[in-house]
Amino acid sequence: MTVIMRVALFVPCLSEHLYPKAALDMVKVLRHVGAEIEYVEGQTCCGQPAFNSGYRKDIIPVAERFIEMFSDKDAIVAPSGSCVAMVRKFYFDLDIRPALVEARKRLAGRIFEFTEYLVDVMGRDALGGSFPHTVTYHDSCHLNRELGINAQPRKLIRGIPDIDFVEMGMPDLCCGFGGTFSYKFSELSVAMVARKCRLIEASGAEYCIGADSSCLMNIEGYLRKHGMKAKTLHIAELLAESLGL
Amino acid sequence: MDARQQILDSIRRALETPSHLPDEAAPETLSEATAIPELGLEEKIRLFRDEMKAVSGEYIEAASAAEAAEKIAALVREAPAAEASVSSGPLVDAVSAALSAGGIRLVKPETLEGDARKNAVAKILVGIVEAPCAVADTATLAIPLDGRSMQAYFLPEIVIALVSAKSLVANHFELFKRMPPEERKNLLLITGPSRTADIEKILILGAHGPRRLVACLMRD
Amino acid sequence: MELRASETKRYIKKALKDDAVRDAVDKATQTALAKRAEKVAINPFWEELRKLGHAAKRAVVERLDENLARFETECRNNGMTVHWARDAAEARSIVLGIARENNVRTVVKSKSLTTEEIHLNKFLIDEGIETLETDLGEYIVQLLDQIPSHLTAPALHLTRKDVGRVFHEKLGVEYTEVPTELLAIARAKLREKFLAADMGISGVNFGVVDSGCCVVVENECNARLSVGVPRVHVAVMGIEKLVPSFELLPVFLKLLPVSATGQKQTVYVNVVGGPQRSKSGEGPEQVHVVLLDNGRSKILADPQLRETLFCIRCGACLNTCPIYQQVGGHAYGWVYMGPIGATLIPQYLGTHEGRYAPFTSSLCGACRQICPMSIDIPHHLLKLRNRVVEAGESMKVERAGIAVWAFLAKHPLMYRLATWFPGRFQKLLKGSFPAPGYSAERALGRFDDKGFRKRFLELEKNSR
Repeated sequence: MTVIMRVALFVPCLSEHLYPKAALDMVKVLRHVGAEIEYVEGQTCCGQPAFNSGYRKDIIPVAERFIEMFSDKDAIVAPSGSCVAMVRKFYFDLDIRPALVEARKRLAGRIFEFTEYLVDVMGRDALGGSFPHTVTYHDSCHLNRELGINAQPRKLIRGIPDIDFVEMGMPDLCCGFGGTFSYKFSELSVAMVARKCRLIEASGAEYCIGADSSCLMNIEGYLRKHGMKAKTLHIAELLAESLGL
Repeated sequence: MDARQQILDSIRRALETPSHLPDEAAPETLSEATAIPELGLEEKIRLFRDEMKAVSGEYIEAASAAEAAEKIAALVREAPAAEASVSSGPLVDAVSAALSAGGIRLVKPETLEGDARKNAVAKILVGIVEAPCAVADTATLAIPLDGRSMQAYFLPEIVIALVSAKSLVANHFELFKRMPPEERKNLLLITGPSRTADIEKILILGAHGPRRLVACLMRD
Repeated sequence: MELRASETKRYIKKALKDDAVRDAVDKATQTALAKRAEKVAINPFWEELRKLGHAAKRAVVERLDENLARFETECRNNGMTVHWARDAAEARSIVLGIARENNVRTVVKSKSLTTEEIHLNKFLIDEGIETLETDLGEYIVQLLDQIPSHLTAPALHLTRKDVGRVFHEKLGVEYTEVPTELLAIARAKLREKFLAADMGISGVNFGVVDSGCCVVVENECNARLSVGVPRVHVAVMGIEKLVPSFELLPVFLKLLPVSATGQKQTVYVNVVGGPQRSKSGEGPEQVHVVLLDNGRSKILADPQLRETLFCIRCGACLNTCPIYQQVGGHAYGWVYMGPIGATLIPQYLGTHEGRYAPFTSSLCGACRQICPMSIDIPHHLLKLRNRVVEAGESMKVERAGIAVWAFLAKHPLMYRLATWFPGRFQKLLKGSFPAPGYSAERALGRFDDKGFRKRFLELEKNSR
């Protein structure tokens, strides 16, 4: 019996504006494993950056719109742990209108991060393909500590037969992005990303894989500015490339 | 309105808003974590000995009061010292005669009053004391403040503590369960010699209290 | 040293340039984490202890008025005098009153952040009472006229050279930087004080409700010497520091030392249940407990933030915090620092003085993971950020920006247009979009000229 997995895309604002490739590659990989993709027109943002800056009243209409838009989909998938954590956990901190409370709960049970969806829902953790390089993996904080997702990305990485996967020291050490933290406390944020980049370098990996574009953007920014050798790659990009999609 | 009333009122008002944490098991719920394991005597002794060493304490054993007195006398002479302050109690009493006979002058703090007492005990290098009860899984000595002088337990640099094997309990849960409520209200628990790591996290023994703690386990 | 929480940005900038402090903090926190990890790994009941601890604290805090009243009754029955202090000034005045009544000239103190919170030392010293910190780290920090930089390791930011220097300068001893020699100096100086002091002041780690006793834990023996020798003992206790019973006390006696210093037990556990001198001829004739509110009952009013009162002051969250690891404790500007400090600063000091504290975090969650009481610190920081915003303490520019963003987020066409502009603009700049601060050390990505939606639709078209 073939179950058609229908996936509604949740495209993080960073993917929309800065790094569409990770989200596009996610689409390609999901299609490759047999999911049907739907792009919900008119989607904008889940509200996380404003919420993290302490704004709640302002984002309620944004959150309500998001809930209305997505809560009747079978599954919603995003290439980002922090966006999913926002909807799955922090939407419950918002005083949305009572009529949407049921929908909010329903939505929380149907929204997934990409690697979580692939491994836990679709049961696919070894996609094969080829990527004969040394890679390491950065555990994004919301993905790892809010959602508990750390085994799934690693399974997917190890599922590429010719990949050489090395753990860096303290893979779950925060990269220092923290959204607006990165410019409110920019020197501190830089000190943190510098430390992360040194750990990446020490691991000997050519690529640092991650599942959140915000972290990767932060890390890539430092690596490039300081002429370091490693490059970042979103896990969707890694899988797409390894499968030749 | 006095401070007490104001504070309690402030608290009552604050608590009018109920918590929205999910319900959790009431702490009275029995759980494995608070259980008292059934341990045999030898196992308790082994645990106590290993833990004592792990906390940089020292451990000796004696099958009789005579053997204990001999070993303790040797420790005192090695210190080097010719005298020791002593706590009260049956275990100390059992070794006192032999110690005195062996030339160790024993000073009972209770024979002195006020400042004279603490100043005298502070000058004596070695204290010989007893713990009525001890916790095996952490090598913790439990001494109730039951009217005995406590100064020999913490003023000397070297403290030799007598412990009876049959007074060993498995863990702290058992300790507090067995101790009468009145006794456990005033208590000193000692686990190893005093220490500090306040300078660069470097561990140094003998901060403001004893530098050496020797447990002498009495098997009889 | 007078630090202010509102100056935290300046302190952070300064700390980031101080390699000596950063090195000391890095080494010390890594050491503490490793030692803790060892003990947690061998305890099969660790997670259960955490749950029990949380449930016990919650039970106490959610009926705090009843529990305090019971505790007071039990303490009184044990012969202790119980005082209630609404705020720092009242607490100071109570302690001074006790000191004056008893002709106290010298006080020895065991480490108590609660007494730091109420600025007790300076107050007593100004009143002519010699007040000496006796915990080695606190003793050093007091000589330097600083506040502690960690909840359990006050001198964590210092090296042996720093200690050697201040001992040489302030104590008139020959310079040495050998740690054992430095300790010997402090031991000798303080021993005479312990034996001569009129009053000992301590904090309280755990007040046992059903028995009316104050538990003080320590490693150096300085607390024993402070509470068990002078004729008067004053214990200053935050009203949240209660635990229900002796049955549950071992849970806390395990959670605290493992989390703080990687020990199964602290060397000393002092259970104080009343004056001893009439019984044994030594120890205190009087034991006073000062119950301190100073804002705690206000914190209680928020049903979510109430959880921040569960803190047992172990310092594990500091050790694991990637921000604390970079800048140390003085950067926060208050006696409670690190992740838990960031939640307490705006609650105790207000949203104006504490307007930056909840933002001094990347919300990584390492603190919640390590906290023995499972306090959900990131969640509380988010709530406090909201409080700061609601109090009008966020920057006008930001508020305007958020309003614009919220508008765009409800109007998808305009939302996409809004990013079309920076995309075009950056082409003119021939480089990355400027974002001062952020991009000083990081190359900024370019805005994609098409955006996801367009590319996705192209992909769809091409695949047909």
